[in-house]
Amino acid sequence: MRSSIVKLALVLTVATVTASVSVSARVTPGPSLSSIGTLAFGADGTLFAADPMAATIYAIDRGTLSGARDFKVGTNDVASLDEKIAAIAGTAATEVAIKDIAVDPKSHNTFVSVMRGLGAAAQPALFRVDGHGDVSLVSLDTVKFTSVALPNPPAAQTTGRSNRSQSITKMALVDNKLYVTGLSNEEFSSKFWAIPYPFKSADQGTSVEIWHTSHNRFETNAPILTFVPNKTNGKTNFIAGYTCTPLVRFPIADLKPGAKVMGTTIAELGAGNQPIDMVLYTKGGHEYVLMANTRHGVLKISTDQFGTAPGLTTKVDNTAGVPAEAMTSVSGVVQLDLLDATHSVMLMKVGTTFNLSAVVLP
Amino acid sequence: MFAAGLLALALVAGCRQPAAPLSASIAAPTASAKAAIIVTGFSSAELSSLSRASLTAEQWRAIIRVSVDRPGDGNPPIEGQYRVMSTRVEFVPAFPLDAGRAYVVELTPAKLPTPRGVEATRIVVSLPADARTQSTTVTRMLPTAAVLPENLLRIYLEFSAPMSRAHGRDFLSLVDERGEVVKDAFLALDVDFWSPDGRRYTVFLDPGRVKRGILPNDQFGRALKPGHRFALLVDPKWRDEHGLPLAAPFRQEFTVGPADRSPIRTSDWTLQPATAGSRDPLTVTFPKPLDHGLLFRAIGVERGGTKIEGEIAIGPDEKSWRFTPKAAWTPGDYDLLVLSILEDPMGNKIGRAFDIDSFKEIDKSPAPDRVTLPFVIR
Repeated sequence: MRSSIVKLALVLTVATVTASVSVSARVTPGPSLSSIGTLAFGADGTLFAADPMAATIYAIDRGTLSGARDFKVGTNDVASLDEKIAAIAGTAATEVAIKDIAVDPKSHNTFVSVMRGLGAAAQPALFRVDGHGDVSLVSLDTVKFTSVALPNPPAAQTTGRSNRSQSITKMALVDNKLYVTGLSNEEFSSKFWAIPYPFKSADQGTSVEIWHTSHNRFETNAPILTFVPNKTNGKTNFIAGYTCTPLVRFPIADLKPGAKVMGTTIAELGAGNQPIDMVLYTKGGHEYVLMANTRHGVLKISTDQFGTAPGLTTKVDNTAGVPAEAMTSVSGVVQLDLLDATHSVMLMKVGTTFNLSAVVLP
Repeated sequence: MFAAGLLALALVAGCRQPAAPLSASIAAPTASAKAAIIVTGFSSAELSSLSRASLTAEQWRAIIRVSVDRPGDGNPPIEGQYRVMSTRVEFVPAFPLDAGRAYVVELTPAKLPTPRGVEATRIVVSLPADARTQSTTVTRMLPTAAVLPENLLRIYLEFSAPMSRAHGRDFLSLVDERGEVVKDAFLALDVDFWSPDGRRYTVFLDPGRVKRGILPNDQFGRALKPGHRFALLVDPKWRDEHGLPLAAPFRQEFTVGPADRSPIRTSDWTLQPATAGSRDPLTVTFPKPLDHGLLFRAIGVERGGTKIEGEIAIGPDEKSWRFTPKAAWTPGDYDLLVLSILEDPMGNKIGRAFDIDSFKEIDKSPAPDRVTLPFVIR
């Protein structure tokens, strides 16, 4: 632990000195985030970081994220990750909030987004956990980045006050588009943005309404909390986890600006539950989704039927549709990502603390 | 965001300073500088050698190690910068130090470039604790009507001062008239629904229980039962932005009435325009309460496509909207502009209820994002 922080500091020293001695150096300050939340890596290692307070998404160049420092590939377990992060940030674990984790597909290090402090003076921070289990603060001071602001919320007033805020629940880069879901504290509806990447300032993406049937007759456009892409017979779908907890399929081709899309409910996973995260993985030649939930724990779901399963149209008593298998070996999972071909990484709440653990894919 | 790392600034100048026992103190933050740990007792020669040595962070921490004072071994050092100044060394942490928190400064003169043959010392420093006393309260719950529909979806809690961004649902409970807590009443998401100023918190009742035909609704029914009294309770342990608990608990009782599954119909609204030459308000009255938050940005006034500036006030039970123009009304044709984002507290929208019977009822054409209601100022 200690050595990792020390090495990071050394690397940054070099960078700082180099910049300060070169009169003509183009010193580009890093992104000035006002908050940090959801994280996602693109396949090339671009780190997408959401700043929900500013309704902005940053794309950070992976090559500038590490500096010259060597980090051990992988992610080793860290007990009481929240306490270690708090100590490095000079505070107590009760004063930090871990917002998300995401694994760099190149280094397999886990990046952790954190708000340091809970009040108005709270500051965003990014931490890294490497293959030694070393936890280090990531400097964003000199990273290369681009950013895009989500479209301004509609307003009928030029001067009216607004108490609206926008959270961002999930981001995924699919075929050069960053797909983003979010929730507002005022309008209760499903927002799904498709933002071309690399970002262009003029194109802020589009949002669509996605409806799904609720197993009886009543339709809704409730918010999507998490989703994964699925390719079946050359057609790309999204499989989305909604509040209370249907899995809904909708074709990516239907996502057109202003569209109202009817999704197909392919599974009901049980009541009183919210999905947290979904990740895709392959094992034994089959693809699966690993899905963390608030009440039903971690579920393993084969994607074999994702593209073809018929919609649920009859009343459901408990669970129905595409079958899910509970992963009983883990509990208290609050964050989940794919670590490598054989492991996931999970942030698990144990008592009042949070442990980061690599867990074999079921 | 922060300046992690190590930057040795060679600012050693002026008079020669003799060596003294190393000592640490804490410098309070100023308008332009973060709080810092100040280490004194270095001789001018030691400061010169420290600035010349280009120490690694590990070497610096061997001399001056700052950490949070807490029990247990292996407490990681705080991330920050070391700066060699003319008479002292400063450690500036990456994040501001907390008021009232104890920090340990371990000083090891034997690790100086020219080692001193003296024992290491351990000094505990802290900034003064925040002298504030708890004063923040919940000022009101919205909707404000005494009777709320059983399919209520959204509640706002307003606070007298900004709150911490902790998850509010840990401090909220819904109790029935027997005083028993209604389980799983709220939407349990790992998402913060704070207004940007931290003074309003949005509570969503679990929409799965609100909507008809959804599994949770079938299994558990709605959290709110018509004809019964309920109360929303706020635990005063909820902390404000200074980390202080609320000054008082909050309890708002209400009666539950029948479900409201009717869309918003702007044709049912009544407009009372003011007279030309005055700055009297335009008043719009609704047959049912609308969402307090959205009323501030979903309704406005236009003339010839240009938005008119003015102040908005919301009437009792959120059943009226009053617009006072910045400049006096001039005679002519105006439009009340209503954006399609407008909802009532049950999630019903203009022309469309929150849960509808069939997607076939949905107009698949791009949504009209606005409705205009013309009125005339005379």
